[in-house]
This record gives sequence, structure tokens and C-alpha cells, in this order.
Amino acid sequence: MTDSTSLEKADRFIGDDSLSDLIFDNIPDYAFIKDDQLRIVKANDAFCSMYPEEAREKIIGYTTLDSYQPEEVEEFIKDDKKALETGYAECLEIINFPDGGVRTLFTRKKRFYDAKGATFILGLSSDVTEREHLVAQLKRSNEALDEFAYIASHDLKAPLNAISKLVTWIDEDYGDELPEGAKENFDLIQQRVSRMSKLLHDLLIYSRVNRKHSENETFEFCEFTKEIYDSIDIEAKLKLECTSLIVTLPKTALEVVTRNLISNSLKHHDCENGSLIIHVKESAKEYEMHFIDDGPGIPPEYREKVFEMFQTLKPRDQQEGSGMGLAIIKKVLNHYGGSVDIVDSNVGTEFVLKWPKVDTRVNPN
Amino acid sequence: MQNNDITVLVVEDDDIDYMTVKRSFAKRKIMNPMVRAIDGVEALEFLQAKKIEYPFIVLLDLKMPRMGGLEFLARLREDPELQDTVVFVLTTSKDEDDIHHSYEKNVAGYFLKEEASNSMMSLVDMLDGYWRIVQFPTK
Repeated sequence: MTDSTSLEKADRFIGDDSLSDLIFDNIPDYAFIKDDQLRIVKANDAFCSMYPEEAREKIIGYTTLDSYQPEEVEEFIKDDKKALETGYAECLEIINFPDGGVRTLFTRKKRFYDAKGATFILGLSSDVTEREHLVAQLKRSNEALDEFAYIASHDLKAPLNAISKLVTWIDEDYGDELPEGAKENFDLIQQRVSRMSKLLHDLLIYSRVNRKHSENETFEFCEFTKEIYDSIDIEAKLKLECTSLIVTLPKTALEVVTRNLISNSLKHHDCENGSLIIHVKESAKEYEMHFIDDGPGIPPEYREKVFEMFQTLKPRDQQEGSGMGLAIIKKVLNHYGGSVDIVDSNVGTEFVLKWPKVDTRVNPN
Repeated sequence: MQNNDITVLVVEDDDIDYMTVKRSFAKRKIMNPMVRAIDGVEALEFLQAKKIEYPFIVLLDLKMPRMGGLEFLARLREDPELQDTVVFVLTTSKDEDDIHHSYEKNVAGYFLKEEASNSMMSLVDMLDGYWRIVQFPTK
């Protein structure tokens, strides 16, 4: 094809309505134009196919409203009027097709004026049935998850508490008569009960961690971490070093993260005089935090696994823990559009957290 | 009125939770008569049939089959004969809404069943002190 022939082709459409007609007919949407009396003055083939064959003669020039249920008509007129008045309207509609199918359409209506100044509405409807179906499915499964969290917190905990009480009562009432072996086993039951109770508790925290939207607050970071450090009830002591910086971050969410990281360092540290260094630096788009300890470290092959739910690196009989801490941290960071990683360091463990200043997520609430 | 005249109506669906209350009272050698209803429906039946001797207080669980604690409270406050009943809530629910709605229905106190049994003992001590000095209207 030469340049002159392609130019010829382009010329063909100048001053000719056939291109816009072609576009109108081939848009993969249901397209129509209504005048200010809500009569359809133009409709593409897809739009016409929504009507039974015998009714297609009576589309152009008609309002076509008598082929719908009265409540659907109300809805149509409402949006048409809104588009005429304000210039734009959009809505989700569930439409019964002549072939018996029920589809969900997302319809946008835009007001425009022709060369003579007459008012029209351009309507475009996309079939979003599958999308809406998936959204509804997602909603249902989220609700099921919430319900599960509640069951985990209440209904599973209640019998566990009952077991714990019964064991205590046996000890109180018959403790003197029990042989030593039985007593030891009762102690083990108590220990497992409290472990399971902790698992359920942390599972509940995990499932609800981002339910309450944590507001941005402005505070001094070092003071904040020291307060958390002092409030953690673990016997080990680490020398804490921390950057002073005024930060603006969702404080409650950051507290969950910081508390878990500090208590991990304390819990897993293997020598007497360890240290924990917490750096924070601010850039235009985010806060970057480093939590560096000189503990036993996490071997590279486990650095992804430790962020999974219920993962621990030691048997729980050696080191009590639900294995939920890092999973919770990851969930919080994901929620705020940030990240958490373990980086290579010579000794110990170094966590790097990136927390964006501006919430970049769609519909953050 | 003797302090050990006050009857305790325990509205509780869980056997072991009821045993916990009984044990805690026994530990403090509190001899007040205790009656158990297994849910709100039974508790209302007892009260409306005047099966519980006056004076009495109610220890109320919230999550129960048939009729939960909040619905029981609503019915109680609607009943002119029973609306002045002293009710203490004893539940595992830490839900803010449950706490709020309980006080809205004029409970005398909202207490949590904690896993540790010593919190139950503090509640019993509180009740023991309460009815040592409380004055009820004569009926």
C-alpha cells in the first residue's frame, strides 16, 4: 500500500457520517442517543438486540419504555432526567433480555448538544454481569471470613476455657491425692490450652487487623518505640537505639507492627548483651524503617516462609509463639500499600519496612 | 434484711460457667440462695411467675440460645413489675456495642468472664460487699 492510497482512504471519511456510524455500530457496548423528550433517535445493533425481534421496528422515535416493568421505567427516567439536568448520570441496572437472560449493565449517560443547539443524551451500556458476580462472590467470602473470626474468638475459646477450668478444679479438689505423673500431665494440658488460646487470639487479631481504619497522627518516633519497648513483658533486655524523628503515620497500625518486631527480637535473642537498632528515614514518598538486631538471624531459605500464618522456626515446646506476628505485620503493610522485607546482614536480623506517606490504594476505606 | 437473704438468679447457658460462679461463691463461703436459668426465656418465666423470692439480683450472660441477654434486658425493662431489677452482666463479649447496649438498659455493671479465675473472685467479693450494705425497697 502506497502513501497516496492510505491518504485516499483517510479522505474518504472527511465530511462523511459513515465513519461515525461505523464506530457507533461497532462499539462493543449498547449505544443509544435520546432526544430531550427521551425518545430514542439513534441506536446501534447491539442495543436493538436487547428487544424482541417484533419490537425492533418500534425503537427509533419511541421511548420504548412500555416494554419494561414499571419500576425499571422509573429508574430509567430518573437517570435520563439527571443526565439532562446535570450533564451526566451512571448506574448499574439489571435487565431482563428477550432471550430470557438476566444481565447486569453499567450505563453511563452524557448530555450533548448538536450543531443547532438541540439537547440529546448519549447512552453507553457495558455488560458487567461477570464482574458484578465476582464482586458479590468476594463480598460473600469476606463475610464468611468475618464470621469465622468471630467463631474462632468466641465459640472455640469457650470450650477451651472450660477445659482449663476443669483441670484447675481437679487440682484444687484432688491435688493431694494425685500421683506425680498425673499432675505433670495436667500441667501439660494447661500449657497446651494456653497455647491454643494464644493461637486463637492472634488469629483473631490477624483477621481484624485492618478492620478499624487507623488515622494518621504526628508523633516522635523514638519516644513511641521506647514506650512500646518498656511495655513488653519479656524478661530479656536489649540495648535499644533509635532515631529521633517526628513522623506522621497511622499510629495504632504502626504500634501493632513495632510491638511485634521488638518482641520478636527480645524473644529470640540468644545472648546476654544484645542490641536492637531502629532507624527511620523520611523521603518524599515514604518512611523507611530498619529494625536491626544482633540475634540468631533468620536463614535466607526461611525469609519468605516466616511471613506465612502459623510459621515458627522452632518447635513451640522450645519457644512459645503463635507464629502469627510476621503474618500480621505483612498484612498491615500490605493494607497501607507498603512492604516488609528481611535483608542480608552480617549478624542478626534486619527488617526493612517501607510505609508510603500517601495512601495509593484504590478506595482505602 | 439479712445480706444472705438476697437470691442470685444466674442466667447462664454454659454448665461450666455456672459451676464457676457456684465455686467462686463457695470459696468465699457465701451462702446466698442461687437459682439458675439456662437462657432469657427461662429467666423471664421464673421472674414473671414470681418463682424467685424477693429480694434478688440477676447475673446475666449475653450470648445464649433462644433469648440472649440484651433481649432479656429489653423485656425486663418493659415489665412494670420487674423493671427495677438489679442486673449485673457477666459475659465473654468485649464488643463495644454489647457494653453500650447493656448500660443503655440500665445494668448495674458489666463484667468480663476472663480466663483467669481470680477476676471471678473479685466480682464475687464486690457482690459480697454490695449486698452487705445495699438497701432494697420493701415489696
